[in-house]
Amino acid sequence: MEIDQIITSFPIKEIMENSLIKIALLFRGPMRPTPYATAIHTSLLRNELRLQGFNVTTYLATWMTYKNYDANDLMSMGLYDNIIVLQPPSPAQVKRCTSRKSYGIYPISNVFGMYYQSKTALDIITSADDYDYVIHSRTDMRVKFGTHIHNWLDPVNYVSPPQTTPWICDWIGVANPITMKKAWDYKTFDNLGGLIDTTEVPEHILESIMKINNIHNKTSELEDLWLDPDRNA
Amino acid sequence: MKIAVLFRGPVRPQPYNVVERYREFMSQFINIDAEVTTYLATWRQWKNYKASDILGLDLFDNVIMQTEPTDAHRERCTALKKLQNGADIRPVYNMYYQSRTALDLIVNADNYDYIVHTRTDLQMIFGAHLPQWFNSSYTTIHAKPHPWTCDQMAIAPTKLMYNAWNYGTIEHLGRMIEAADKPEAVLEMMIEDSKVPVKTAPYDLWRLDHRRNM
Repeated sequence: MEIDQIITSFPIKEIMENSLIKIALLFRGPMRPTPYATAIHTSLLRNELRLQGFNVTTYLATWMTYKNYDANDLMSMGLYDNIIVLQPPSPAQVKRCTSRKSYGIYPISNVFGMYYQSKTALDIITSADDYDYVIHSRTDMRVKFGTHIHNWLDPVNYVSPPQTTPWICDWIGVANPITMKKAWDYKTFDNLGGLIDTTEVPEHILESIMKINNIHNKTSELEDLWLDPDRNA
Repeated sequence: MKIAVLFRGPVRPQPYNVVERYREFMSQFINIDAEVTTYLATWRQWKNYKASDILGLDLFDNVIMQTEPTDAHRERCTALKKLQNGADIRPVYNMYYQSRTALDLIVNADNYDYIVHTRTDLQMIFGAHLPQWFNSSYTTIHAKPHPWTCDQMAIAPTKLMYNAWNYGTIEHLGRMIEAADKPEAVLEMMIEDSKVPVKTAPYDLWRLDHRRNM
């Protein structure tokens, strides 16, 4: 397709309206299976949103190391507008929060890390600017909203993918900044520890926080949602 | 003993100068009996330079790189454009916002005994005086009333460092900036409000990079 065909295939009026919408696009999680995969997932979603005209600011919240990779390569790409790269939580840090060792096959450090990393990033995002929406995605996943995007931009509810499990999908969520922050705000490490100790699956923690903070969930379709099967390779 | 060393500020005058400052500063902590973890809090860009140029060098253990706050963001804090002494509000707001953001993260990240809080464009050689900087006060280069409390570098127990830079809400930071006659006055107000004990300690060299605004 020629470039002028591509340009004219987009509805200009909608692009102009979208440009007034400020979106913080957060990728959080380990840079897996590789830093380059994370960079590709970021580029694809960021570009999709920018082509639709949205005013997008990118955030990366990841650990400095993952297996044999370190985040230096990813940080030096200049891909992200904002970066929060921390050392992975130490066993002592996790132990301050909970004495639990695992959720089934998942080490407790993964679950602690996800909530700790999400809250840290959302605290920064909500203090950094007046965004209209926060898109909160995993790093190891490819997402395309396509024509469904406006179903996801809901001013009231926390929007997540259609449920294929008995619990809310925590892979990606979209909400206004206050709702997003509240949905993931465990308040204190003691509270997070209490939630970890009393829930059966990690996603129940998100559901519990949302219930406590009176956050309502709705689901919406996506054009593409692909969790990298090699993420633990 | 666990120590967090925070470098905060723009990558100025150029990114490689920050690398030099980092290496020189951190070389003073190699032979002390402590577990030292480094943090960089910086802006994505300084003039035509990009912070990403030094983020691939494997220098810092933890990195917080943010897009510099917009005018609209600052105006949530205060509509004032200049302090009473004529100083531009922008770097003042940025310094307090960036320091607080980084300190929030550091205190949640681990149980550090001390935080060393320094600038990216500051040369500071402690020499044989380094042990005197680790005590039960907020220890800095000079302190009020002679002539005011220095905001360029300090070492303090974690709780005191956090309290000294904790402005509460953005609105409260705005009120303090509006009442300040110079940038350091905001730090002095927070230190007074939270009753943080302050002292000074000797050093061999204290030099702010004179090219920092070039």
